[in-house]
Amino acid sequence: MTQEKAVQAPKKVDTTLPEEDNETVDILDTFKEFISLIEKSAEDFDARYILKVFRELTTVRKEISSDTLVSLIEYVYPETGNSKTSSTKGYLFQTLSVDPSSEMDTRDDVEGNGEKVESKRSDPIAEVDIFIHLLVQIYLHDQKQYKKLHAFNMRCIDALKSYDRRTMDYIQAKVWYYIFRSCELVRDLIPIRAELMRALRTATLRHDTETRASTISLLLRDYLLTNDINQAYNLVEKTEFPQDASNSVVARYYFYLARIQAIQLDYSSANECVIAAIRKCPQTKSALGFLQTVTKLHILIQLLTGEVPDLTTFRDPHLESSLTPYLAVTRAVRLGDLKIFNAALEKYGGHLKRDENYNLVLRLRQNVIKTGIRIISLAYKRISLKDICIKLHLDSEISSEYIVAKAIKDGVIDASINHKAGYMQSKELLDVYSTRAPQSEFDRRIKFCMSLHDDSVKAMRYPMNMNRVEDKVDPEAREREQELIQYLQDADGF
Amino acid sequence: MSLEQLTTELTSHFNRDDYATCAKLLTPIRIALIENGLLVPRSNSRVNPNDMVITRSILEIGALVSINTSNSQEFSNYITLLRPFYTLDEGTIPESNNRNKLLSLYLLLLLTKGDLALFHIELEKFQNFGKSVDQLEEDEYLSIPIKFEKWIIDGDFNKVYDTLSSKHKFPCKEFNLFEPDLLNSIRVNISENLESAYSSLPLENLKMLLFLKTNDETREFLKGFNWSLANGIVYFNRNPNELQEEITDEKLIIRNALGYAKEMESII
Repeated sequence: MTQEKAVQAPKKVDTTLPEEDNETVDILDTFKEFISLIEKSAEDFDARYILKVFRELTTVRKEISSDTLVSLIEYVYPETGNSKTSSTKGYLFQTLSVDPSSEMDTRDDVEGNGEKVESKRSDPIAEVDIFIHLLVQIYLHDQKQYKKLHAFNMRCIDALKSYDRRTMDYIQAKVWYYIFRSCELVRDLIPIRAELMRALRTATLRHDTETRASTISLLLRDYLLTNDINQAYNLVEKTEFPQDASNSVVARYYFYLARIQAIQLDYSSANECVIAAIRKCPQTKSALGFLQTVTKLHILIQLLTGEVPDLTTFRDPHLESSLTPYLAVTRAVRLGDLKIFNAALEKYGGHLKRDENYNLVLRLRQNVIKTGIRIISLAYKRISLKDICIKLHLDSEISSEYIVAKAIKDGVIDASINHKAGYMQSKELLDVYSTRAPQSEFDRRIKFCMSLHDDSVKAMRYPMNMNRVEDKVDPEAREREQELIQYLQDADGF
Repeated sequence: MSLEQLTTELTSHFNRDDYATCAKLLTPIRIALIENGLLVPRSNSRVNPNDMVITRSILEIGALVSINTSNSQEFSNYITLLRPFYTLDEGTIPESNNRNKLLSLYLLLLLTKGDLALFHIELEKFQNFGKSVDQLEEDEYLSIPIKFEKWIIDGDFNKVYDTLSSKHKFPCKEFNLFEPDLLNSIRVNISENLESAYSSLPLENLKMLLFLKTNDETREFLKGFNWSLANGIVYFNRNPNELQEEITDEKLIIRNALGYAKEMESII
């Protein structure tokens, strides 16, 4: 699961790239711009600006330095603030381990362009305050100062609790992500659960979609990391995952869900979830780790349901090398040869254990028989149970009778057994087009397209007033439209 | 009676296999444990590790007693109580010898209930001890439920029956207590399979396939199913109501088409 990190970091590459500046002051300006955007979004109750900030943050996050943060904190938290502001400022500096003297130095540097604004700034608004916390977290995370990051957690949680504003949703979700990440890195997973639960409750009450989605998936991850599948399952049962959360979180949620269901042997639902996870996964390079992990699970689930995954899956240039062990396992299952299977297991055991898929792979050993029966039933129209017994190296004829019966019940093969004569007869392949199946499938797809259309209409934005102005400016366009309608009506007549 | 006296008494009765008396003793012991704050282990060092070991062994006796008096609900409760002791940080108290035995009994219980999902969830938990399933198979206790589960999944019920009927193989006697329940649960399993695999089956064969001994037993078992018996042949009733399906089919087509038309209209 380690490779999954990539998608969990808030990485969304967008086309709007800010200029490549390496000087502290310019980055500082970028951040100041961010802050004004956040302020704007808080005023207008419009989350778009915050999303824009996050998109651009990806490109500059590598350049965050301690100096930049110090100057930014100086800029945001005014000297003349109330006691809360100054205490926040105090512990932020403490976390960054800056002593007051160097703090003064940096301040001198930025005095030139910062002074004017600084003098009239009042206490920072909640969103900005939390955003600064997030920046400090990102900085510590990227600097790999995990212990410090972990120690900083309580401060962040307290800060989050002290505010009660819905516009913080997006920032808050990210802060929780880093809080949890630090706990994971220092392997301190149990105590954080209570805090996450509390955050989930508050977010649910406030209808904070992002925070809700984020805390649910973090809790699931926590339970899965400690192999507490039952708890995870209970959580899934008892909570409702917000479907309109951002795609990367939804993808993660589906992945966890697929894992839980796979462990519970509910392979068909697991398969649906894992496919959903792959589809929802962001299509960028940074999400590659996640894609690899999900694909691995997908392959295993396919194998467990008795399907053989498409060979093209393994040929994907981005995934090829990481999927090698899974290719070996797939080959063994496809051939139905236990010897090759064990050899693959020995060779790649460590790798599979690292992926935490080892137990699932072990279950495949049983599937070798299932695959065997399936192949036989495809090849023969009628075969005696004795022959099946010989072909699959089973102990006795009666064993094979039980196993075939079970396979029929599980839907692995479509056949029936004639006990008296002692053979298994495959049912004639039905002509699919004489059944209702194609129609219902067609219906399902049409409905999907319809809802896609509806969703895109709903997602469109109509900036206030803009359209109306254009209408007035361009009377010709309206005229043309009128003509077109007229024409269409005439055409209808014919 | 003090907790100490109760405990010595419990142990002596337990060693004499006097489970009824043990069951009576356990309730006051548990109350005494709660009063002393010992029922739930605490990782802080205020509690003497020795006390924790004693509490754990009392609970283990309780679990074994409830199995022997075939009280499965009680047994699950004891496992729940024991779990925090088993998941304590390493080095807090020495590992219990009975852990794997009790957990494998619990796994068997899950199998008899047919709760395979929970079974696998339990197996996953062993990863916290750094054990994967194939390592568990090397354990003399845990290998038994794991093997059974494999056979059940495969449908190789014959092997389950063979192992269950050769009683001497198990490392401890409690495993035998599961035999009737486990057999019953696989019988239900088998009959479901038969229902979908055969259209009819002679009663004699059915009896054999279900590991039943007499015809009366078989008849008794059949009552639970919607099968008909004629001339010593059992017919598995499957009810295909295709005719009705077709009628609703037409309506469905019309309904769908109307739906599409409406959507189209709203788009244009």
